[in-house]
Amino acid sequence: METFGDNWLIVGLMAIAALGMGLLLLGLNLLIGPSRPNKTKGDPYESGVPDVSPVKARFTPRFYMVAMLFVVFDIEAVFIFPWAVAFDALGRYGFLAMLVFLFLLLDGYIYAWKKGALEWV
Amino acid sequence: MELTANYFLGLSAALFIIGLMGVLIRRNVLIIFLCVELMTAAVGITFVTFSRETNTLDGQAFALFSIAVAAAEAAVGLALILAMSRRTRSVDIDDFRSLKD
Amino acid sequence: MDLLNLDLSGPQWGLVWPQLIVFLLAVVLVFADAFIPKHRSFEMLTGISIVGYLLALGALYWQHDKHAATFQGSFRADGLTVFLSLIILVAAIFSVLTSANYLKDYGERVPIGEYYILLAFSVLGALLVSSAGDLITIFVGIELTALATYVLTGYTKRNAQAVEGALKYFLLGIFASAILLYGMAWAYGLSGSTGLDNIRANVGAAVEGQEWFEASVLLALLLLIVGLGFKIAAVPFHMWTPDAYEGAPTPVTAYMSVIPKAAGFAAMIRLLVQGLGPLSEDWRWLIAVLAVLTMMLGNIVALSQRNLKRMLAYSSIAHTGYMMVGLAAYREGTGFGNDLENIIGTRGVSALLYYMLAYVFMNIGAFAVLTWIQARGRGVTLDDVSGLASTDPLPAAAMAVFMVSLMGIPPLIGFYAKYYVILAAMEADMLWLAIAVVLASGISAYFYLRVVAVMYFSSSDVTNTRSVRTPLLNASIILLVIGNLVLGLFSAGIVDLSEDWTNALTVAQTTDGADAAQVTNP
Repeated sequence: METFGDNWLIVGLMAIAALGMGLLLLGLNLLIGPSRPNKTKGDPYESGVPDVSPVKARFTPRFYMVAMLFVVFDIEAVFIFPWAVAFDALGRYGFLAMLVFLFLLLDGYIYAWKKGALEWV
Repeated sequence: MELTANYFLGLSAALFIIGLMGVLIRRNVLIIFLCVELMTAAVGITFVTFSRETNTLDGQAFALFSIAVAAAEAAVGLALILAMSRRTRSVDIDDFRSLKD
Repeated sequence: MDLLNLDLSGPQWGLVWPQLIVFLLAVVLVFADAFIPKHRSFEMLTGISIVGYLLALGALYWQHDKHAATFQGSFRADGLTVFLSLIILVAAIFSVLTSANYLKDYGERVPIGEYYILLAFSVLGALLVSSAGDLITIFVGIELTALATYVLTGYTKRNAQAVEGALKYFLLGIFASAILLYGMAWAYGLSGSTGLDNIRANVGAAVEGQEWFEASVLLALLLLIVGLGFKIAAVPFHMWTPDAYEGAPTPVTAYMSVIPKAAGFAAMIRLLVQGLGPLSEDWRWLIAVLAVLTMMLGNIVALSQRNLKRMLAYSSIAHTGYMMVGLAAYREGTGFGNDLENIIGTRGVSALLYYMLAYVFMNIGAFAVLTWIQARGRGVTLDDVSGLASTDPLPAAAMAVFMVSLMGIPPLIGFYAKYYVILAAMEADMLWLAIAVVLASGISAYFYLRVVAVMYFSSSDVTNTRSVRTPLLNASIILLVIGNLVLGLFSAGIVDLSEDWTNALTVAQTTDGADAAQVTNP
């Protein structure tokens, strides 16, 4: 219990030191730094490019198509991980079952490919 | 303080009810959809908790299936919402009223 | 299912042929649609679909006396599986026949392949539910059916109404699924297993003593009934039905009024009767009250509808109510386990199953005639069918048969369906429920007969009809009319066949003993 409390003491000191250092630097800047604000300085930094663009950015529907395919195929990995962990115990039957599963994924993939869902036009 | 199963069941019940209230209150279709996803995820916590409590693995398997089903729902749902918002230029459920008595 | 003691010797593939054939059909359709050139895809895919479903029906005959469980008990080939699969496959064949000409007429504007693929996956999901012995299989099956149906509803995506109907159906559908899932989580947590047999044994044992335990069992029960109530469109969870039915293309409406509903009822029978049968005294009152609400509200609101698709939507809600009466008539005595002597109302579930088969013939028939009318450029309101008998006597006669059958007039199939439901309610000492069915049927007579009257006694003011040939649709309507006229006469035999469902309660213990024995107590 003793060491437990000590640890919390150290963390607390760290927090106070970090906070103090930050406040000190900001305060010094405010006291001795010159302050001459203008429009350009006040803007957020955007790699030198003007930061004006419509608020509601519009995306091509292609993004949605890719996102949907990604979500579905990505989530299927959720079944592969437990299988991989228990691979030794599952034996030949488990291996064949996973092959069937992967074949179904491939089926869907070929369908998406042939229907042109993967092409970026 | 000991973390018993009740805390996890409480957490998942709270999340489930937050999602439920969201579905009933919000009018934005996307938010409603997200709230349903929250409900599904909350049930996942219940499954995992019960799986640990009862020392069986069925619940964990069920949680995985519910995640996969939620992903399929997301794909279908986003497609439908996209098709609808193209027609009506809106995602507010009150704007979808071409069908009524 | 018990994942800690998996049986890795592999499943008995011989048991699963009908379901496996539909699965292979779906996979083959995906490949076929990807590789067959577009101008030939209609004939090829229609042919493949019909052959596939017919093969599955044939395999079903072969499956019907197997009575066994496999895949760790999560797949069951019992009497319930066989009868439900029969209903679903018959409905699937009529759906293909009804929609084929509609799709061809739509031409290049819709992807034909996707229709058949989604249909096949949806049918597969329903078959999965009806053969499920495990919560996971039930959930995945229900979702597979529903997800494919959402997309089919919005199939004509250029049509704003179709997409709107699909979106409403989708949002309420996934909401219901989340509630159902939560109910399943509690059922699992209270029994320590997702296997229906283990749930039956453990919940029964648990309910015996403790009061607090029963409270959480009832919570699970309530969540399950609400979730499934949405799926079968029971009042007060029916809000999506009229919009989705009206928005969807008419052949899809025919389909979605039958197969997702059959899947919902299959899940209800599996969960409530097979899994939670020992609690029947707790849930059957709830089901009975919902049934009365459902049939009354469905019929009363249908009175004021002039759009026939919307009218049939409310009528299908009412028919959900009649079917729920069959479920409410199921009761088990006190005690638990698989003691069939205890069960009083097995005829309730048989009546429900027979009703569902009759409903396939009546409802798909009505929507098939509407599709026929629409294919000729008419609308689907009462004004559009006025005087139909003078311009097109045969479709009008078919529509009259379906309307009268839905109303329940002997000797049509709809009468026998209602008769068995009423009989079951009386056997279960629920006379008030039987009276409610008769009253609701009386109300429904008005709007069904109005359609017939408008067709026969009003003058036709529709002139600009197109002439198209719809051979498959015509064949489907003729077969459905024959079914309505003839199947009622063989009702005794069919009900005897559906009585086989009771072995759903005993099968797993006798054949797959190793699985059922591994009960883990909570």
